Amino acid sequence: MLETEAFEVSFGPQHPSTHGVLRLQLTLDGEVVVECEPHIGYLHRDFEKICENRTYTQVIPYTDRLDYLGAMNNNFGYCLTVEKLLGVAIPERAEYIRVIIAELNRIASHLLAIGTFVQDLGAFGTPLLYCFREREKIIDIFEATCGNRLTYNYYRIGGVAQDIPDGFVEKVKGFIKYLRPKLKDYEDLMTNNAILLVRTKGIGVLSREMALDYAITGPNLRASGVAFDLRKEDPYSIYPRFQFDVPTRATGDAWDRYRVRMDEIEQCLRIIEQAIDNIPSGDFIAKVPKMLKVPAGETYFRTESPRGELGFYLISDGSNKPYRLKCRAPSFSNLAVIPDLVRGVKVADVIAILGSIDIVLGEIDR
Amino acid sequence: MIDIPFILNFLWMCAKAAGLLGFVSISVMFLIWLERKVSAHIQSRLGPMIVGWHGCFQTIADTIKLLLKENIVTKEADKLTFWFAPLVVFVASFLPFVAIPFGRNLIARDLNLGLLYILAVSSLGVIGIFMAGWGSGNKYSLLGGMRTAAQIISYEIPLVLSILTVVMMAGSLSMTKIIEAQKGMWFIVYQPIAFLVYFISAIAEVNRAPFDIAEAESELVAGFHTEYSGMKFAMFFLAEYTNMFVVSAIAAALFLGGWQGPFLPGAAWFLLKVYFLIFVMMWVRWTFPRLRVDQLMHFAWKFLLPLAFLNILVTALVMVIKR
Amino acid sequence: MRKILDYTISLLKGLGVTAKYLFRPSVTLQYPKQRWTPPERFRGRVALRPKKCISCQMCARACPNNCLEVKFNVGEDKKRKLNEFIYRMDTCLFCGLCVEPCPASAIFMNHDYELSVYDRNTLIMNLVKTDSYVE
Repeated sequence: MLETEAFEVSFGPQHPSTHGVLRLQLTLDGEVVVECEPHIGYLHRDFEKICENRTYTQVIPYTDRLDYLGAMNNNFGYCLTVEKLLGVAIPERAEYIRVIIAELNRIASHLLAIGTFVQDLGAFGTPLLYCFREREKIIDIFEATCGNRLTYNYYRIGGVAQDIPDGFVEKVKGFIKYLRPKLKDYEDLMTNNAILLVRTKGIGVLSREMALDYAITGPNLRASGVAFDLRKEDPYSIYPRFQFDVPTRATGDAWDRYRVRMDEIEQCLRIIEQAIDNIPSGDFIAKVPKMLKVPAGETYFRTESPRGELGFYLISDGSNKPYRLKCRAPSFSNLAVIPDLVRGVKVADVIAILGSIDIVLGEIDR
Repeated sequence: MIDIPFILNFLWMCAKAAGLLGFVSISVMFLIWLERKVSAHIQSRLGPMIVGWHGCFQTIADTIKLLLKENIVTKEADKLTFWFAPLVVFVASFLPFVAIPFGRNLIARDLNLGLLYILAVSSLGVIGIFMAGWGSGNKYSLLGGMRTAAQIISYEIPLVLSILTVVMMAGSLSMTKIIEAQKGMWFIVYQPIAFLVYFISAIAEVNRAPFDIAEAESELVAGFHTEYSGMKFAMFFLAEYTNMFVVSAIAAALFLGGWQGPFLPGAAWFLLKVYFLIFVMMWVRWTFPRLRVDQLMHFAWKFLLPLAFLNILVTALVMVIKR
Repeated sequence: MRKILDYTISLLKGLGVTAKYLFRPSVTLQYPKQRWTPPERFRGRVALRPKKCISCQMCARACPNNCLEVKFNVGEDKKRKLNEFIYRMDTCLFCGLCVEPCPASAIFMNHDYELSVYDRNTLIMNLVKTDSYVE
């Protein structure tokens, strides 16, 4: 009998498909994973401590850099947290702009998640670049609105930084019209592709119980059959006014996680369609003092970011700077389940599972 | 005594070899450019546009860059194996050209066992790839090398079995004879399944997507050539495209009637068919995801192999009945 | 059999999609030759209209990363006179928070997007010298 020996592979931090600087320390027996240990912290910037030395407004650009693919949603979550403690009323117009922008950002984020996921499965570039092409349209809209393409810094405490530019509504409508047929193409190219099916069906099954135990949130949880979406469960902003479904899937394998994201893009489009025609006129930002002082107290506010439950826990001592700001990053909890999911699968599946979980290292390391 | 005929013969052989080498290099350069263009247009891009008309000299620029690059040999590498691997891979990919018929009389040597010879030498490349995987002293390379060895050995069998039907119909192993046997009708009409099995196995043989598990960019960084750079990397690259040419050339010769076709000269027809098949390979590569290593094996052993056997059986039966 | 047929059809459909785009025009921009015009609100680097600046330091205070430094003299008429306006692009977040509080609309973000340099010291610049925007 031949004796075999398990060997260790350091997967990352420089690796084409660890989505940033994650390092997975894999113990392999041939092609099969015996043990997996994720190492994080390569992108640590000490966000939470930095925030203690910045005024409330100055924190906003730093939230951009948490989940850099869903930067608008981070802005949104942070601003809502401060507004909750501040007790300020947001103008209707600002609410609508915020929701439209956040949903567009969610589409952009999901497009990238799908694209990189299929890229990780080995489809060389093509699906990824198709997704990038569509995402580019959203980025262009954002660029015209707030001036930047990735780190937007658009939301302000009490509203948004600038009013929407001329032609915004037409551009968004044009985008919706543009994206719908493209989603059909994706169905043909990716969703129903036989190779993609055999690669993802039954891979990395995350059971309902396991997902709940690990505090998985977002599309990953919904793929496991739990219809939990904070926009429905604990509604914030003006989400209760819109009709939309929470797409769920039953088994919780990589294919389901992919499908949930595809379905969510459709739901985001629905929300935008309902909101875009009804933007009321008025102010785009509430009257907030320039030197913002938040009354002493503490609060936790959670929003549905593209990756799950994004929570900010804020303690204020009444000064113009947060006393403590804790960020509950969805990717962090989602990543924690990786070692359990990849035990006993092939190396190629590690990539598939990691891609389907869709992590962003920016908010894991913070 | 100086053996004049021998020297003349030797010089003639050298000229042939040089001619083929030149053709291979130019063809590979064209193929690399084509691949970049095809992939770019599939992805709504333009691809190389700067160097020359539509970037047609881009590959030359890249080759010069690769030639000038520093030759890096890692500390952990097994020096001898590391150095020889690209040579083995390249030579193995170049050898089949001896028996590839470009035109009616455009063949370096019409061996009467031509097909067998091609199959034999073209599978030598796996040794080089395995050497590269082992010699790099890198775990990713090793995994890539192991995968290739398993993959190529598995796919060799359906490949040979699918070709066997053609040999049965032509009654010869000589490439020229096989092509001439297709005078009336191309063998793809009689043997569509054999062609399909051959083409799929051929894609797997040359490690192209969706069977590129040896390189597996997103898993193994670059697989067996992770540690290679500069000219040694260029050799692998050259070998990959040469291999593509070889398998497509075999397909064109065995199933698509080789040089035969109306109007155009034979060599043009042959190249047209070869490049069309290569284009299909590129098209497939830029569309599909990659199979997993065990699924790849299942596909070879549980689907392609029985299919190839069945095909042989049916062909044999039909031939017996007809006689 | 049924499964094989389905699989084959799905693969052919995928090939169809890529073939479709093979003959569509490309969407990319040939960057160094073609350029795109940034939208009006585009946030390039921080720029200054030195004549307008009243040295109030609101921008420096608004900056989250302290990358602005306003150096000035107080003249005899008790008016502040701008000497140097140090901008450290290496630590700049390009967030635009410095533009919002400016009472004189002297500071703004221009449309430069090619900001890479060979020497990081050149990222620290005195905007009074480099910028001569005149209205």
